[in-house]
Amino acid sequence: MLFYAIQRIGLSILILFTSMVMLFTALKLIPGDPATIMLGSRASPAMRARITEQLGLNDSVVVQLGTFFGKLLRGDLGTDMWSQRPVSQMVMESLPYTLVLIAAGLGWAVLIGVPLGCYSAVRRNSVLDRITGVLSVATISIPSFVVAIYLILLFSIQLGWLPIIGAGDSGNWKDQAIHLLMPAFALGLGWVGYLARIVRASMLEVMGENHIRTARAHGLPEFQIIKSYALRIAILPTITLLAVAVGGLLSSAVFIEAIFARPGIGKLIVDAASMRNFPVVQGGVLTTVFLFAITMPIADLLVAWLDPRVRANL
Amino acid sequence: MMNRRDLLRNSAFLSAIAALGIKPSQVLAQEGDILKVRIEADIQILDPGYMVGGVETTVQYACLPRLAVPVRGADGNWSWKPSEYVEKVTQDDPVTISFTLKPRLKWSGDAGDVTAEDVKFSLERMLKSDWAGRFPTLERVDVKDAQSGTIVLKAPFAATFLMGVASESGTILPKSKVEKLPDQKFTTELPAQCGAYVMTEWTPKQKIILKANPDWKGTKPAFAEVQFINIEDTTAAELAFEAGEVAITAVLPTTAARYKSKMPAGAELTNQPGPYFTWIGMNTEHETLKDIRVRKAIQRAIDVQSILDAAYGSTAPIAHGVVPLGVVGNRTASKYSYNPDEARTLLAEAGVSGLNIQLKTLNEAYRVTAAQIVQANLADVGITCEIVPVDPGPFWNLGLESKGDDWKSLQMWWMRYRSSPDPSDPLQWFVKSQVGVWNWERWSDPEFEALWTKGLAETDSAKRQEIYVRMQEIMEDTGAYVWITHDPLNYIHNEKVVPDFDTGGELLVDRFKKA
Repeated sequence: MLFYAIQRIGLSILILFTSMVMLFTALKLIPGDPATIMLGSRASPAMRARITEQLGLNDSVVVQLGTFFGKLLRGDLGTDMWSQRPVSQMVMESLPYTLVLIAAGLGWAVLIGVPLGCYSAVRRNSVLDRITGVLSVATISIPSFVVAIYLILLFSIQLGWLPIIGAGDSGNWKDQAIHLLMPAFALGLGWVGYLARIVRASMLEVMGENHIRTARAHGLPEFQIIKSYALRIAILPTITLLAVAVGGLLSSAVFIEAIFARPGIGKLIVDAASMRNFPVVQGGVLTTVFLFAITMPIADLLVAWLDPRVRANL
Repeated sequence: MMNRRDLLRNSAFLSAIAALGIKPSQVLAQEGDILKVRIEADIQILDPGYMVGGVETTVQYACLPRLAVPVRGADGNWSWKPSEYVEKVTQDDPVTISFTLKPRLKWSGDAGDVTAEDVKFSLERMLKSDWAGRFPTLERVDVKDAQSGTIVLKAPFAATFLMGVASESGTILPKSKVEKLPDQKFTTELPAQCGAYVMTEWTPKQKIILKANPDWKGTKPAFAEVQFINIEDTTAAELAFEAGEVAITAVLPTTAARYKSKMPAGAELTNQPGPYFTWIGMNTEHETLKDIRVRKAIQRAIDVQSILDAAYGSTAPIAHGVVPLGVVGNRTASKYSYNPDEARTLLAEAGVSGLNIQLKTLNEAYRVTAAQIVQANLADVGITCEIVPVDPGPFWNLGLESKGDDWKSLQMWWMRYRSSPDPSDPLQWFVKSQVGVWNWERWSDPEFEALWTKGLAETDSAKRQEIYVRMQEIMEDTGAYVWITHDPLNYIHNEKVVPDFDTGGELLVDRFKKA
């Protein structure tokens, strides 16, 4: 198990390094300099030259990579080329909001999606199973930003119940919770459908296993069979799916962050990329890749811990 | 019928709602003396020498001193007046401006009084800054005593006030504090403040809070607190306004048109002439467009009013040049108009048929809409126009010789620049030295060059009007320009708020009033 863990961590470091090499190469290739994009015709040649020098853009990709990783080993993600603020500080200001949004969105999706999937499997072909099937596909199909806009129109503009903009006052958890309601709902709705379908499919497979038949034959209550014998195995693919979801949502939550004007890492990266603010792009992407790279091994290790069959094969 | 279990469940739900403080009809409108203003981008550099613009300008006007401020005259043109920080500021002669600050103006913290030394430091440092072009003829500032001094110019420059002293570039900084900063520059933290407001809080990417300065001796601002809420997406901002979460926001032209026909309750729309000028440019050196008759045909083939109706919701005026409304030199008529028959005649005279042209534009929805109308208009006279939306990065390099050879294949493009409130600013990009830089049309004219030089030195408004109108005529006569519009600034705001703006359309919250 320890060797497996080390293996996964080593793979994560390799993923991180490869991602940054690809990013640096891509940044080198995209046209446009930051000064001209920000200031248009007002960007003087001296200004463009100063910013190019400041960003080290005249250096080769290898030198730029070396400089970046050298600073990274010292905990320095660089500085924002305009405000001169440390990128690490900017990332740490934005990241918690995205993590909270993802946790809230996926959290309610799990709370609704997993029981729905279980029920659908146990009551296969029932009315609720069929309704869940249709709604699952529908919610998966609707983009989260479309859901967000309809929520705003109903709950903010029509009813005036919920605020639209921002993440709430700092330090006021109630205000922050209210500001999180609509974004989390919009983000998680599609995942309710995904999780319900995945759990249903897994449960159907597991419920047909011999050990379930044996448990029933022994007279165990159906609820206990589902909870202790079936779900524990059926949930394993879901854990892997959730890890993938976290990785994807780290950057794709940008749509929700944009509509609700919430701070977040995805928005930070997108804004920086459009302005060619390379240090912020590099620092932001590194952070999301790092988080994704550690989320997958954690999910794998969790699966291994839960499933003795996987542990035995390590 | 509800059973006991249902009652308990619903009560728990309602209790949770009550605990969170969610109330029906909770419209988060401006509360009393707090004004919530939407901003599109966060502050990055508040230092006037290195600023980017936008809300940075607003914060500078509200929290930092200057000698003069811009005002709109009775004729609708921009002018200036002394600020509340001075007892007097006058242009004594074409190259000398004298000023006397009010006594006992205090910086915040331990930065002492605002002095003439601060003025000298602030203006002279601009000469080495990224915005040195705002003071092209400034030589030095002489200090007479603690409050008085003289600004000395190397040569007369009519825009010294509007582009320099009365603009955000004329912001006065505390010398004692700035000198001690690394590289003598600052970004997001003001070294000291002295204004109607003080910036008390900044949450990056979220909010900036200004509070009325209790030590301010000038006109008290209308609102005790101003909160700038960072909402980058304009549609989200419009929704926020309709939900009552911001009291004022800029809106898209098509939204302004919608609001004009159906105004939200308690709202008002302000249409403000903007500092922009938009045109379609043509590369005079491209094989397809070398013949001036072809270019003039294109000028006459494009129905600009249709573009303004479709892409701007009929909220934008037709332009006849590059100098915006409200600025000396604004041109009120063109020599050509939409005339497809004349366009066909010109093409026939040029012996051209089946022409293929590429029109490049930034990949923004309204620009692409406009380009589609251009495409239809040109098809009507037998020209096939391919629209090429371009990302900002490569777009701004299209005509730059230093960035490669794209300029050689460049034919037509949709362009918008921003101008200062002086005609020399928009016209500087079309002189001969700008060919291969920002003069993507790649033309020059001796009379144009002579007028350019003359206009910089001329201080009489009437003569400047003649000079700059004539320069735009020369531009139009090249056939390389199709004037589109001076994009207006549309703001939707609470009807109880009376906004005020600077020459660039930035909000001057210290001059806002309550209706």
